[in-house]
Amino acid sequence: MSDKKKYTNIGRSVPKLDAVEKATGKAVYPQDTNLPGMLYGKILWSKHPHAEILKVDTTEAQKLPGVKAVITAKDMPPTKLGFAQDNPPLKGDKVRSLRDEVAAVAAVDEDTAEKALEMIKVKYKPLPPVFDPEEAMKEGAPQIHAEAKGNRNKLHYAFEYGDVDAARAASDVVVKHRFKLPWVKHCCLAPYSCVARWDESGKLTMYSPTQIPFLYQRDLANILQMPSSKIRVIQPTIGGAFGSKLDLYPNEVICAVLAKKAGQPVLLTYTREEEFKCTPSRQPVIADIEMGAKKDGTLTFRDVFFILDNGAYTSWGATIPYVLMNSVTSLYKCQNIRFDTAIIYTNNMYSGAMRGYGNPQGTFVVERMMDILAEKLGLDALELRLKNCNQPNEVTPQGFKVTTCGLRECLETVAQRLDWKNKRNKGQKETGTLRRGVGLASYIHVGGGARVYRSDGCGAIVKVDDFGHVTLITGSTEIGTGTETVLAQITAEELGVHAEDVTVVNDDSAIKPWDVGIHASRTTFIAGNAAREAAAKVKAEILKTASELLEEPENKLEINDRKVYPKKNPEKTLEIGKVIRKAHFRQHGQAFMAEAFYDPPTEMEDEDYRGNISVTYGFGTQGAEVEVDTETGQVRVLKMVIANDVGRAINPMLLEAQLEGGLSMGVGYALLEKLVVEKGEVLNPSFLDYKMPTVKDMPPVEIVLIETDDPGGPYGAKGIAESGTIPTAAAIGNAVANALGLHLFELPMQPEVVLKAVKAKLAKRD
Amino acid sequence: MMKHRLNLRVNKQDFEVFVKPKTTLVDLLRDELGLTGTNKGCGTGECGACTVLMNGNAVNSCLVLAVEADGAEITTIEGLASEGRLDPLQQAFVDEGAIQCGFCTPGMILVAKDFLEKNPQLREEDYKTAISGNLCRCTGYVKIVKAIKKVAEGE
Amino acid sequence: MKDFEYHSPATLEEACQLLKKYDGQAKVLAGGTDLIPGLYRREIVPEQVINIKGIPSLNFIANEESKGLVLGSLVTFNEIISSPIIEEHYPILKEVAEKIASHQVRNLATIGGNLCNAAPSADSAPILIALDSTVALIEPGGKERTLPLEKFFIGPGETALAPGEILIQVHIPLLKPRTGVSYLKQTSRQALEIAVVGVAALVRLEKKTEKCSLVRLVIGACASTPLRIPAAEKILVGKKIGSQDIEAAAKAASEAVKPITDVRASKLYRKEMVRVQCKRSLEEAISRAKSSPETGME
Repeated sequence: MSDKKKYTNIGRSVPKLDAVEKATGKAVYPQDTNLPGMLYGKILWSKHPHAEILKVDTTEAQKLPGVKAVITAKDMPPTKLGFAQDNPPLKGDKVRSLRDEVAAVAAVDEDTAEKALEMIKVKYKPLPPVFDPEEAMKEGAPQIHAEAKGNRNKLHYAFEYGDVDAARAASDVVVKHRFKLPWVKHCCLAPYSCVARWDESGKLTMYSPTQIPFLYQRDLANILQMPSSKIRVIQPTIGGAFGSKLDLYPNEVICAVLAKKAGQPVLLTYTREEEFKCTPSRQPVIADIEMGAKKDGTLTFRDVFFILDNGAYTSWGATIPYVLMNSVTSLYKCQNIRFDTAIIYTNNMYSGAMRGYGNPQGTFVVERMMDILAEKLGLDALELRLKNCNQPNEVTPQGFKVTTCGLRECLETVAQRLDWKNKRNKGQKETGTLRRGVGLASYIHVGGGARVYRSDGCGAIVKVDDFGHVTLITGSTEIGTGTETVLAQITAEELGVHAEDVTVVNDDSAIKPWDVGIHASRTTFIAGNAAREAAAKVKAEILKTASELLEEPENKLEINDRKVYPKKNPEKTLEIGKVIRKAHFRQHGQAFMAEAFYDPPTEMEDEDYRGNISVTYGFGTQGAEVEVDTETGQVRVLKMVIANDVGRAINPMLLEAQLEGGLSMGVGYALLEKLVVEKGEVLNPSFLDYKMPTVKDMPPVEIVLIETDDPGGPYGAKGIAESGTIPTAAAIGNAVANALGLHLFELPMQPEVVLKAVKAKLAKRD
Repeated sequence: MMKHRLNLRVNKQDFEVFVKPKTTLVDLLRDELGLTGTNKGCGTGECGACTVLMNGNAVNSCLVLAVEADGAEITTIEGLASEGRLDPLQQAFVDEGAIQCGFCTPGMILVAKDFLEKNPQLREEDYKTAISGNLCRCTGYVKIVKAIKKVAEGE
Repeated sequence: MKDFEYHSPATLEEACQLLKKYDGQAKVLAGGTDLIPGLYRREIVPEQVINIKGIPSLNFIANEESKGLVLGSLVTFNEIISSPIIEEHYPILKEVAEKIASHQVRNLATIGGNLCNAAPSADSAPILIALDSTVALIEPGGKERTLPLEKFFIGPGETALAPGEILIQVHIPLLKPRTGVSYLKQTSRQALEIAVVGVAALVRLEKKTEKCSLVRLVIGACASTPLRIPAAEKILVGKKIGSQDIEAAAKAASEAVKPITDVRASKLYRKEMVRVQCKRSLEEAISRAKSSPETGME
């Protein structure tokens, strides 16, 4: 803690650098783009969840005045999108879900585009659909992709460690349950929007909210069968991402092809209804889980099987077991693990990445089971967790090398703030309509990058100009989380200037160096280390020149508060700007600029899913106090406590803001949010009927930041951006169970679900 | 379809425009007047992102036909700062970390403005009432409430 | 959104004539908070839209001795919330208005629009029926008629308005002494919500004996129109109400309603919530009746 004082920028709550632009309405989101001659694009969606396309007739639509381009599968290259290359941007022979793209139009305004869509005639031959993954797995189920037998996605994640069967036999207590979790949505406030513009030389500029500009550039080049050097990706202000822009989706390809055909720029913006129906969602899972323990609470084994509804195509949704597995294998110490999955194609919309990437699902299941196990053992749920708590320098069954670990402190802090001892077992003894309970849950997540690609790297360029003004050009992307500010703080700290002196450039693939993308809570850690390294190189150059001017050796100099001075004689200062100007205006002058590429010292998991994928791991605990109305089933969260091992808080205000925002997503997951999908159709595609939390649904939150000063992190920091969401539903679920003395095995715990369980319990008692 | 002429005052500037009856106020502001600080999150009055002040009242500009605004005085987020100085609410949102992706921000600030001007004495619960028609996915609302409270209490 | 023609009549007569002329093809625009989303989603496709907000005689709040509270149909919910007259004499109306949608929507949405839109879940309807309100309607030529609000609703989106007729006022009798009212709204979220079940109760107790002399119990969102429940009211009238009576009345209400299953709730859950919220609403109304002033207009 004491070393905090020596920092000028680290640990300071600097307001977000782009906040004024956003507060004044000047920020430009993709939907705000207005290019000369710009057209409006619209997509025609399938009318059937599963059907052959017999004919698409666009003759009439093409004749409508104002229509500049109409495209179908015939206008598309034969290439397909997605991790399994199974998703043609426009469907030519077959549709597999109601959100399938069949044709698209670009016109002078949205009205004309809509009218044109109505004039496109499509002839389908409906095929029998299947919507339930367990039905889809059965023999004789409708086949969605010819090459995927039994509708099984070829991606398969299985992990085994120790001897599960022997451990089961040796357990004193074994519990087994099935959990069901729903489809949920990112609910970015800005509907998805992108713009495509071709120049006369055949270069394509995309204005895209993508989280992965360079992978996007590569994938778009592949699908359009053109060199990626001819694609420039500009990322305007992004109105929410949360994993929803982690892949290249058909809408962006369609936008590009429309613009090419029309010879004019095209803006394609989803309506809110399209946003709900057509963008990939967090996937529903069915989890069968069995866990055991010795009488003293030592965990013996975990045996889990997850069935994932992948929907009709393969985006990142199918790969979430990669992370989901982490909570099963590595949250609390357990030496015998079996993990298996079935990822099943259905005629539902397809699934994607969302904050936490499977970890909210995995953590919910594991942490609910920890409470159930504790109950069966007759042990306190906190004690059970402390007994099996992760520790510094531990290696988990998957081979994760834990460096720093503040989990024990997190658990103890939350318990203390919840008044655990007094409140934990009070609820069930209460009588009356309202029952109270407390619960807690923890998480483990990557905190030092995540090597999911061969590179987990990020480039940075730091430039210092003649008045000491600093520019950081980072490969990373700003999606609202505040990374640009945190990176400015890190850069400024290294250089001895103020964060306010730093301009961050992060929005243009033609300028910025390569980066994998903004995901896996990696940007502060990875882009932060890259920025720090580049800044250190520039600093060395500045010191070299200053050394000449001050006539002191470089290692005797220090930079602080925008000035260089000898450590021994801090009064003898020289402004950084002056040093730089001296270097500019002289014979054989120099510019002050350096680059760095930080790729963390981690390894990819092998085919058995073992490997240390992150430099460090994040830990944290959330606690909930709830009140349940046993007549209506309504759950009110009275209070939440978050204790997080953050390594080091570079910007405490923005860090808290990440945790608070993540928490609200978790509260929604726990109690309110569910896409109602029937026969492949989303029945609640609006903010009125999809219940994301309003301000009145948010409980008071207490946050305790636990700083473990991670040796690998920039100034000790760990990544935390997803963590606020991960354990929330489990903590609330455990609190509800504590209040009612019964267990719920599904989310969300909407009033109707809770009431049904309460009534079933009462009926049993009578 | 016949266009209607309307005169309105936006951010203290007079405009004469011709619009189709079905054009909503949010589309007029964004597409005709270039005031893209008014964000369109849903188009059906369920998110609050497009909130503007119309004759001093915060309204969802997607729930108002442009023709209804004939003769009206409109303030959008672009009209709040004056002479290079941010409105106290804008400043508080910046300083308190109440902004992340920023898409809900203009609506949040304008509804808070309306609420604070009409209700001099507010309790904690009232700040929440003020913004309960404005959805935010990034912040969990904590710092937004804090920012509004800061202005209300004249800190 | 489909194109339509737009009219902005300056007088009531002009508006009535337009409505009559375009009968079946026209929609009245007041607050617009239901109409415009309907247009946006193409659920409503009128050829004509008639904006009545330019008509000056429809926006006022008055307390008249004979009629009680008179609300012009263009009064918005935020005007109800901030009205000193309503705060003093009809605080329940403020309480209900605060439960509707959001601050921005309440700045636009009007009492007349909420009633004429005739959504079964409309928050203003159950309480106004419980208060024995009437509506004043005007037809082309200027002839007016009044109708008990209870008789105004025919079905979802359907009202007793004749072609060319416009709702101009809502009359709400002043609460008599020893009368309590309550409105409870069952929702999933704490704000920005449509009622899964809405329950309004009015209870009057006799002096000294505290026997119940009048009950009106009205349920929203559980039938094609807001529904009054005479079977439940009968159980309570004439009695010194005990908790068993309340339970019985709530049960009767739960049996009388005919809700549907939709994305907001199942039929069974709605029925159960009618029971629970009727009980709570009656309890609240009784408690308020007991603490309401003894004197006043009988």
